[in-house]
Amino acid sequence: MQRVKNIDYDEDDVYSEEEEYHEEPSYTDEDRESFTALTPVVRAELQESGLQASDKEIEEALWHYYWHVGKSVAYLKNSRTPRPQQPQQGKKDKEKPKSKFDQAAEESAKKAGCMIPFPSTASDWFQGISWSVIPLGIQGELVPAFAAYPRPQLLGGSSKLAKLAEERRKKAAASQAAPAAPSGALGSLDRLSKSKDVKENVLPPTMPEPRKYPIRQKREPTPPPKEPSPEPEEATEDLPDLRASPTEFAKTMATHAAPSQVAEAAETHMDSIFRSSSNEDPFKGPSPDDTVMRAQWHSKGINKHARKPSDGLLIKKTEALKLEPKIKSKGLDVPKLWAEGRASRKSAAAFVVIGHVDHGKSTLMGRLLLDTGAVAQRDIDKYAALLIPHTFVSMLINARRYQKQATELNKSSFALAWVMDTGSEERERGITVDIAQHPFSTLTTDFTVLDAPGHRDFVPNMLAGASMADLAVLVVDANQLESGMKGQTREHILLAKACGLERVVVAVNKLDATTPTAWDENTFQSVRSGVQKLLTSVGFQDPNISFVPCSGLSGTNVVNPAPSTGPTAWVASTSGTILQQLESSPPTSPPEELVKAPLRLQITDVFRGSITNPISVSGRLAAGNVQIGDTVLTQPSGEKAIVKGIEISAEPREWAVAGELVTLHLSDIDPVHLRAGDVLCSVDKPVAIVRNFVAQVTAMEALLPQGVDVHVGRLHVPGSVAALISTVDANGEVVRKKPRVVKGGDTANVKVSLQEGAPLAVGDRIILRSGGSTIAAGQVDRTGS
Amino acid sequence: MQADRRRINAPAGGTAPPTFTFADHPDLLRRPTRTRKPDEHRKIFLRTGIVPSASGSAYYEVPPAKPAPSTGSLVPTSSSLKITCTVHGPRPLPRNAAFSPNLLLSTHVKFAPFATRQRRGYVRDASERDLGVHLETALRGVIIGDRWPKSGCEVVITVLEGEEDGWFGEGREKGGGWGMMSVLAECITVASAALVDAGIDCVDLVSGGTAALVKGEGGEGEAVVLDPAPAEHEVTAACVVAYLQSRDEITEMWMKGDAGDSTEGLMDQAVRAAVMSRTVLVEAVKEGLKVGGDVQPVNGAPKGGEGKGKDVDMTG
Repeated sequence: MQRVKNIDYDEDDVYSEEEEYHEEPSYTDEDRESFTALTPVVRAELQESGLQASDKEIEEALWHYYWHVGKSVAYLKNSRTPRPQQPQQGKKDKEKPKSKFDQAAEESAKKAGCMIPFPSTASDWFQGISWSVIPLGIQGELVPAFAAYPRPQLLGGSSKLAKLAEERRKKAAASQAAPAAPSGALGSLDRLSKSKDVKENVLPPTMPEPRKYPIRQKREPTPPPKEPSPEPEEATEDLPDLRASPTEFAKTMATHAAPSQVAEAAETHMDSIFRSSSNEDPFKGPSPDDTVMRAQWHSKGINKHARKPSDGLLIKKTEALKLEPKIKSKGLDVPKLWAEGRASRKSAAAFVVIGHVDHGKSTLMGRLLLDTGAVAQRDIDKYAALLIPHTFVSMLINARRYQKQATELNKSSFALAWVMDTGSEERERGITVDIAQHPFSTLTTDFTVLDAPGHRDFVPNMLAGASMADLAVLVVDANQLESGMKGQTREHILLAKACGLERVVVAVNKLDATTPTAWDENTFQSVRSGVQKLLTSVGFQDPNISFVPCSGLSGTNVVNPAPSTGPTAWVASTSGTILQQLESSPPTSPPEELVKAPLRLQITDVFRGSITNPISVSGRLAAGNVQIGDTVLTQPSGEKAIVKGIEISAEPREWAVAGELVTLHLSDIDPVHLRAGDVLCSVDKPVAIVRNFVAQVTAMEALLPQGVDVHVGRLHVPGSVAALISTVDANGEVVRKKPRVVKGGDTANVKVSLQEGAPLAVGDRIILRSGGSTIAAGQVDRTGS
Repeated sequence: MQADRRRINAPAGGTAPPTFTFADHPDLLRRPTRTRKPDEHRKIFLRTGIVPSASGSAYYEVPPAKPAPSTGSLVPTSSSLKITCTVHGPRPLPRNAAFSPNLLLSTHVKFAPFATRQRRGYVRDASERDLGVHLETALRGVIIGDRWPKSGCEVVITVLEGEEDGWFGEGREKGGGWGMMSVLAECITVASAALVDAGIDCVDLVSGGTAALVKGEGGEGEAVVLDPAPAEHEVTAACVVAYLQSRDEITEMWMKGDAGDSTEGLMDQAVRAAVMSRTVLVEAVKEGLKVGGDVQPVNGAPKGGEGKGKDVDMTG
């Protein structure tokens, strides 16, 4: 990553150092005169000592030493004697672009009247200067302070620097044979070391030895040692060689050694340990496994199987196998079959159980299923047994619910509810979260129970349930009518109506717990009048409403009629049991046109049915028919799938028609393309994906152009009320165009736009919710923008 | 001293087989004698870069004397030192550590449980921590700490085989902790090699040396010996120095016992021992630098005269 901004330098910001500094020293005429005069002198001097130098070198030396012949000669001698390549190197230094540091150093050197190879020792510095005038007393010995120091270098163990060091090390090793010119950056530093060599060669005796042990030698009080303390230099001279060869143990650590040497070391080590002298490679021959394999290869049995595939037939076979056998459609005429079997078939109905939270919906349904034999008592007992460890749950319930009743009863009450509440979260919290469906059948009708959650947080799930049902069972707690009327009893009634349900059975529950006495008829009557008023105000017709007093927990008047004696004597005269009421409500048979219409199925749930059926969807067939082998299209993903199997009430079927709650096993589709709320439709006439539509809705609260959640059965899409087109009266006459607000209770045509496309058709029932409450419900009038 | 509760410790006791006195084995219970001259150092094997995962590492060994006296016993008569040193760092200090303008050096010296005749625990005991402090003092003087602000460096020394504190025949109470002195000197040398291997800037190579004042033959008189093996002598005083030869400086000195008049001589001899061990150190460091180039023979004969009295270019 580049951390520095790529700054665009101006042309004149970047100056070339070479242009400025890489110049030959220009000599004046005066200089040249001096050169001609002095060069022969210097050459003569040099030739005395048997050395040669070119004119240019001599001139350079003279120029740098200000025409001092002695110094120039000394310099040239120095540059000649120790290393033959020295002058050449000096030249190279010249040619290199000088750094500013070097430039400054040179400047100061010139000012000081000094020479180019920097004198680093005192003797160099003061060479040629007479000391005679200085009195002996004040003459001092000058000891180089840092002569012996190694050149400090910035190195370290940190990875980058270590790498650099490693590289440098390698370079040094490579250049050992042929020393190259010093790198530019260290030019001036290198010069220091050069001058040191010069000193050693020119004036060896004048340089006093650096004195060691300075402090201890000053101190004399201790008795003098027998022999003078050895000079370190001498000591190093006769130092014995102390390097030992490594022991066997140390050899094992020999990481520096070449591989062969390591092997050798290891070998000797192993030899010394195990005293085995065999040097045979144990991996030379074939391994025992190889031997066995080879022997088996000769056997006829293996060859028979192994030789066959070589003729290429198998490839074809496997290719043929790759194609999954397609599910073949039997090509049934489903509407005809349906029409033929209509008389012999039992009628079917699905009902949704609605009501306020904790009014006992799930318990009532559990009782219904238990008493009709759809669920065995054994299962209920199992749930009851499971409940026992959940004492905290029952304690919670104690506080919340029937405080008068025994704990045992509480447990059993939940055991009933657990028939429907299968999720662990549902069971732990004691409330229903998602809709649950369970089939049961009586002598005349096949029923499907859709248990809807009562809690207001899960209204969307309740909507999904209501959209699949034919009728509703409204459960009202006789003791807590008021809480329900304010809460979800009211909202659920509104939503049930909005979903198009016409018939409702009101189960007045928990009559066995009324105060002051159980099965109080007055309580029932007051509840009845209250709920009836509400239902009629919403729009349910009186004949479609029936009231049943019951107790879900004890099971009185659910399936079995209440005893005709005792406090429940009045019950029998009021109405039949809940089951009777459900059976008496005429199950709507779908019209033939609907069965022949193109397929529409809103997916309620996508799940993994079993290993053989990896992808299954469930939902209510809203229109059309489907049979095994049909190709269906999912919207909005637009993927095709093949129907592998059909189940209704956990029984396999060949086909299904509109109005039935089915489970379809699909194949040839990835589960990512299927979501709850998607629509399965026929390939020929797929449902359109809609982003804008006009709907006629009845407002429950003041409706403004605002953001809303649009619910269509299981599907819910965020969107907004784009415009209020007009308010209409009950007959569909336009009352007012472009109203600013639609008041609660009014009906209006509104334009709704969705954030993402949803499969919608004209006539679909929509519910607009916002902020957790329902604000309007209605039907799609026309789609498109 | 807290007990080590985290492990199931072996019973305290010896790591070497027990020795029994036999009349027909008189050699067994004879104190080993010094075969070297008084100013002769034992041979040393030193190698850097033995632990690839550490920033720097070194292995130091004093092999046992070549002609092993055949006493017929399994008990070794003289110890052979084996020390490994690893250097981790310089590496950044932990986030919660206070700012430090210098390299924070920490040293750990630990004897392996089997390193000495008397079994060592897994937790560092007082003497080991003491050695660690001495070592830190010795190294602190050579490391150029201000080049590594906000960094830490750990020097971890494991003594695989330690010097004996005294002759085992005298009983373990007699051991005066003289072995520690030799171990410290060698720890300093090996740590110096490992520091160079880690590429940590130092002003010089520091090397350790020991000298001891021992009772002469027959218990008469006293003599100063270099690099004492405590099993061979009756030591009255000993001195360890960490010495920088190029600078003629001492970064650490540890004197034990009463040397009397010969204190100065003892120190000088210790310095001399350090100078001797430095020759090996220099060679080992040079050898370590040649990694990647031509491979040095494992136990190649040292080249005569090379690296004597010369400065080492510390391009670790």
